[in-house]
Amino acid sequence: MLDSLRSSLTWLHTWSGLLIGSLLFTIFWMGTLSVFDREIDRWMMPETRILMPDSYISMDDIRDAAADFVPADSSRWQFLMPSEREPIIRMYYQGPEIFHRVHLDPNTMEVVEGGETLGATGFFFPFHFSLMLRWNSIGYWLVGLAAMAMMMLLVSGVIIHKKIFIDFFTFRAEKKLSRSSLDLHNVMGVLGLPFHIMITLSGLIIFMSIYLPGVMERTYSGDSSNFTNEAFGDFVQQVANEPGGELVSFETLRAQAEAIWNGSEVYYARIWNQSDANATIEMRRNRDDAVPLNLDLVSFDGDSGEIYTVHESEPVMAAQRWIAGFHFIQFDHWTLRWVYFLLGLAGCALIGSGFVIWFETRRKQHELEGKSGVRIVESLAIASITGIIIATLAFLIANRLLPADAHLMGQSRSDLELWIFFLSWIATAAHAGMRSAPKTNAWVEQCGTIAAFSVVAVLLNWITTGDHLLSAFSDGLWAVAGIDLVLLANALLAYAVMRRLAQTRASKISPTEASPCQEIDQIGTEVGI
Amino acid sequence: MITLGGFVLAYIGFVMLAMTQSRPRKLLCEASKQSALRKLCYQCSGSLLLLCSLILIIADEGWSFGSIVWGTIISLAAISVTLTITFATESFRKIVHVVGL
Amino acid sequence: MTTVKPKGRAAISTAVNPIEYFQRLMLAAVLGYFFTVEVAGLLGLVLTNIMIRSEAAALSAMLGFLLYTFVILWAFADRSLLRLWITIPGGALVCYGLSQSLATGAPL
Repeated sequence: MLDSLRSSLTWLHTWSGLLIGSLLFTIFWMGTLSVFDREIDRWMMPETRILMPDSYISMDDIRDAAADFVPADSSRWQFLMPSEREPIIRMYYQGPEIFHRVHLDPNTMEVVEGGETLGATGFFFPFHFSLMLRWNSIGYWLVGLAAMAMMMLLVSGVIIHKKIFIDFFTFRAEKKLSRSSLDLHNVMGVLGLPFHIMITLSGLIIFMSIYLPGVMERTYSGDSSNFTNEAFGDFVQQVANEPGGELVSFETLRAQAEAIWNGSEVYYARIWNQSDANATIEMRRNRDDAVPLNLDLVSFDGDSGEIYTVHESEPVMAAQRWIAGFHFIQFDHWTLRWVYFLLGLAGCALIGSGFVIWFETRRKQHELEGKSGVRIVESLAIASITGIIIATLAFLIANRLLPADAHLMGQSRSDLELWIFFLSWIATAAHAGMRSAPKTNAWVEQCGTIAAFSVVAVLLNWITTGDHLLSAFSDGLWAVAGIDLVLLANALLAYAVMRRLAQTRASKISPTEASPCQEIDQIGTEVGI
Repeated sequence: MITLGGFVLAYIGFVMLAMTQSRPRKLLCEASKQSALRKLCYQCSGSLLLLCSLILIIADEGWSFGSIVWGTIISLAAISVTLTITFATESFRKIVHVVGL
Repeated sequence: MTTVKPKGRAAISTAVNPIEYFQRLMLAAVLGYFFTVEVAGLLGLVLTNIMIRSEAAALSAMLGFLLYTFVILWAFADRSLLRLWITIPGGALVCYGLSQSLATGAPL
């Protein structure tokens, strides 16, 4: 397109990065938080800060407890067995109108009551892969678009980085912002490359049926409706529309499934059409001990307990499950969990620094020519980076402040928490827009807000639940302690950044600044184009 | 523990590789010229250390978890080396001098 | 207002003509998507001779993402727009035709 491969791809990398950067940052940020979604749930749902019972948990006890609130004719209900990371029984059931979420205490089989909230598993995680936009799967498609753009950005980034090996360890933090942000961008990108490529590609592969349904259609010569059943093994009997008997004992089904899997445990059960003669019960195998998000499942007839299908992935789907498992990180591995969190933050730094490079290298030129590009992009960057972090903290604070029975104008408590998230986000964008150039003030103020909100969140946890850091540690509430610690670390980091930026702002006007032409020239040659 | 060992091996390996590059070398030790043979030695030992890191981690965790652990640990090690060179230049220089690189 | 002639990276940003850019965008995002589906779809159909259909479909879809990444880059990297216009929509049509004829078992 332009003179050389490098210049064409530089153009492509720059402009697509600019257009998709905000969406990418959102996805990476929410994804990074989702690594600890179950821990954040413990923080946001204090009633679930329970310790795992030592005794055996019987599925029949769960079935009996569920009978109290799951409608007899419910078309579907499902539950997850408790674990260290999630010491409650998370249950969903189809009610007459909506799909409900309920928590049971595994010690007492009682419903755990608390303020209604989506938590991280209900908001951060689905927001990450679908933007909570369900109309015609548009959210999924936008995330897919961002992911394909990210693949292209990663590959083009490597191609255009002329001095990729020479600059391998180069991070000149002391130089001016346009230089140091480019160094940071390169370091985070190149050194984190295996992770960034794998996480992006695996994200796409997880949703391959949504993103490339045409491939399934061509392979099946038209009707690809069997693909899901064959590849994923789902099996639900056709509804007979006749009343069925009592559901068979879940424990006998569980024993059969675990025998088929050589002792590996059932982690999840789903019951379809329980009052029908053709009720189906699925049991799925635990994913704690291996990378793949296995699809091993046994489907039983609900009345007789007869086994209908035993599914195990074929080789290619097994590979797909390994790739999906890599992304989902549902396995038990604390080191990797923290590593993913850190590398996810590196990805966020990669995307954020991209914005900074763009507006810093054009700042002088746009100022002189009266162009508004830098002003607009910088406002966008502020809203996308510090803005979403502030909104996240506001969400956590709202979770602690809203009373359990809060509602307003037909919006439930969990709806109100979401409103506060999105309204805070919009407020940060407005704040960024209103601050005039240079926008260092907006950055400083938002960093300061992040630091303040983080501390407020920790304090609110203490005030509203009593589980402050020392108490949480001594009670074995690692999740709560961990979240509080990360919040405090976040506060320190935001404060340090704020101080550094404020210092830079104070010393900004220096009479010996290079003339604009020279500066832009320098950057061009430095980048090695 | 083993993972930490793998991280340390990778870290040192990357330090060796960094020493073959002009900018880190200028920052970390006075000698600016490096003979081709010396450069090759550093590159080989650095790569060998990375390989040892891989073997150690795979031996402990198997290929499935091990590949992910090693693949991510080396990124963190390389980033750590970069941040150490940038933010702890003086201390790093002293250590490098003492060790005799 | 002094005008500064941008050099280096900033200059590259303003050097592309909109019509060419629009064509490449269509070739990459839209036509490239259909090219990927048709090529990967044909691959899937061919692979059913050596593996179960669901396996063939899954493998081809996974490889499809790699192909699509390459196509997007190629649509902006290739100097010849003509080559892109011939290969991308053309390739999609050819693969579609082959898929249809293989499916029905009719000779090419």
